[in-house]
Amino acid sequence: MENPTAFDLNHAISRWRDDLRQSPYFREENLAELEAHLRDSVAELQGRGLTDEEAFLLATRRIGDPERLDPEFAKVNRGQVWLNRVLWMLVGVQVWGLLCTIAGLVTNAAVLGGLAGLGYKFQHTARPYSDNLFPAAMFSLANLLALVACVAGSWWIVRRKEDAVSKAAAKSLQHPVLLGLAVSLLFVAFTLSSTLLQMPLMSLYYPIEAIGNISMARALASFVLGPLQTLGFVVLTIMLCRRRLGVSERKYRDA
Amino acid sequence: MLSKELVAASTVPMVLSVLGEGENYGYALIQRVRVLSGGKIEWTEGMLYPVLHWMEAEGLIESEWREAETGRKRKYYCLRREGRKALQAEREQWLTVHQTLTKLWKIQPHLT
Repeated sequence: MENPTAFDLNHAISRWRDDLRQSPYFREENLAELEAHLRDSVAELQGRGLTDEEAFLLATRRIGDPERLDPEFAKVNRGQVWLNRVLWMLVGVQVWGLLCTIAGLVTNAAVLGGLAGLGYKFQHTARPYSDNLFPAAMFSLANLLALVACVAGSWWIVRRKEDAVSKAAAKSLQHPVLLGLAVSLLFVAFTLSSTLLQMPLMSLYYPIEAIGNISMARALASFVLGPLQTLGFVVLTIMLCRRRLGVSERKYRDA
Repeated sequence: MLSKELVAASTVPMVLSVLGEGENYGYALIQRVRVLSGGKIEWTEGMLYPVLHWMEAEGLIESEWREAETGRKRKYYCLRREGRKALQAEREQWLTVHQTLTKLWKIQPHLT
């Protein structure tokens, strides 16, 4: 602590900026402007003979606490913040669609390959419902597992790399059009490719006559999956809401 | 030291007046007010920016990011026509207050 060279000014400034970024009411441009101000202020104080650390502490004090600045910036940036929220909602819905599509694609390949490997045959049948229950159950089970794995994987990444993710999120807001476009393109690309891959995937393992039965099995599976996916979406939303509210309530109690 | 209310009320006329001298950026604007007031007007510096952004949204001023001599980027603000009109209106109001109080307190200007 006694060593004045141990204080890294640039590091301290970037930590200060990250701290402000926690509030949704500061736009990246605001942060850039405040940082320019802070650097001017620090430079002037250094010129008066203060050390880096002293200059930084005094300059940040003069700019003001985040708690005091936050409501003032909120007044001017409220509209922007709401637009950002709507943008994230749309991105969230599309990411959910993306996860479902990926899970479906993986499932189809895995189940068809697995059934073929087991020697299961889709025979011509007079009872298309009851005779296709086994593959239907396989499709639903595998799809559910894949979906859970996708959600858990994404959750894990977000939890493990929270800092990196929130930084990337803040950064992507500098180019909101690009963000929306990228997510939408990914969504469209995956949905299209999953539709286009259906036939080649089926004919890879089974003759063309089996397609009717496979489709029937998948239609049966979707009776189970459809509601479950919707339920999953609802549960996920509620979980996120509870987390979010939990955080802000703690903040409120601490204040 | 000025009261909080008076600092808040005088922020916009101060900003308009400093920018009336020519374009400027936030940090220098604050320095100018501090020096002219003899250190009696102390802003929480960060609070100036929301005010600047509000004034920009109102069409009183406009801004531009430019590179300074130091190589760092700064956001410069300058008055627009609406801003000049607002400055004129503020001037009249503040001078009215000032003149009234001066008369009430019977302060004699230029005593020496």
